[in-house]
Amino acid sequence: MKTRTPEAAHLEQDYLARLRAMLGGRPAAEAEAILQDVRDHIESALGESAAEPVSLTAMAAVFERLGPPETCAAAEESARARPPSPAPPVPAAGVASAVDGEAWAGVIDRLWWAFLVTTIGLYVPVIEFAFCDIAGIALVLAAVRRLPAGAPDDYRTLAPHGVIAIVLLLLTSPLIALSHIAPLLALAVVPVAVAAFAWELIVYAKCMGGAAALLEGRGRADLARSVRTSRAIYIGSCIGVTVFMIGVVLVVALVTPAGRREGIDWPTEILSACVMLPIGWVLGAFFALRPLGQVRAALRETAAA
Amino acid sequence: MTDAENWLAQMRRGTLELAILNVLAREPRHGYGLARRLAGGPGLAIGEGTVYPILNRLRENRLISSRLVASTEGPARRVYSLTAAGERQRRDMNERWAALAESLDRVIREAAGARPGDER
Repeated sequence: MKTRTPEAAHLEQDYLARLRAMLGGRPAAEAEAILQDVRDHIESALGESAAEPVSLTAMAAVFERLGPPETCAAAEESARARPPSPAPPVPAAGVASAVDGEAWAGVIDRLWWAFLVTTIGLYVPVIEFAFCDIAGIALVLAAVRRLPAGAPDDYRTLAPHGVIAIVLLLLTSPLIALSHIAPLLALAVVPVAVAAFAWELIVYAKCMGGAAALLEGRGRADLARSVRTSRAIYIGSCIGVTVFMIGVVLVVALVTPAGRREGIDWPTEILSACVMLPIGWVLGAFFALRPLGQVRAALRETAAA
Repeated sequence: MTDAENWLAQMRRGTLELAILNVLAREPRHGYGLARRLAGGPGLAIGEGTVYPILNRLRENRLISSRLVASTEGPARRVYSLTAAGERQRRDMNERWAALAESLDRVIREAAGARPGDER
């Protein structure tokens, strides 16, 4: 971000304040999204041409091209006057159209509980992992079934990915059982299990991406970056831990004499208990539950403000 | 602003949605690039800021989608692209626009033919 002279900064603040006032009749998230777009536009325009610090003249030139804030509102009013597009509107029927931090905090709250279920179950060997995963994803789907207006794209497109993840998880266990009867089916187990794992991560990625987008829409870009960083660490760690575990199991299987391989599952059990359990819980707590809790608190602060 | 200028401004606003969908049909663009492209078009000249509320509504209606893309010049920028529903809407609007333009053009030509020298 380029530094501004005091006069240029004042002009910018004045323009954004006028634009905010013009957008006052819209839902808060919608108005904030438009304001964020305009802020990005200003930065892009200044980045293209203006020297640093940005002078009043350079800033005025940007706003001259943008046009007065009143023009923005007038353009949209004209567009709104036309018949509605055939695409399904947001929000869903029965949900209050007014977007506020509290409504979104409620959505994030439900996602938090969904991830708690998944995190607890994912690395507990006693509980069948797929059970808690399926329950967690089902709760995620329930959390985003009805959304307030101005939903981030990640939440709008989350449902089909959640369904795919559940279907793949439901397929995994029967395939493993059937592979004992028909060994050729074992060939299908690995890709299905990997796909289930991948789609679970997609669901997680979208949940966190949506949370970050909500924060950005409310001017909390710093916290949004933190959420995205957590997401990257969590996904990388999950892949790393899983690859590590598979690698160790393979090594153990290779060094075990062929006659003693039948029925060996203790490395998996030990690794699940000693490695996956604490690592999985720590990862889940720090990179799913904690950031979602921070998002929830930030949204509630926004609502209170 | 004269009556003709006022009419032109209103017409531009009305057709801006069509222009946005068609620009995005070629390739995804960030808001700034889209606004500059539309502002620079002959006859399309608009205040660049008018693009953003319409982009937001198109996104709400799922005709376009957006994603944040890292930028070397500063913070991540939102890049917009057309959805399948947006593509269907674009084609439908293009057909309607072509029919409207043809009808209007015919009326204008007829008027010019009735009064030679007025306008051609």
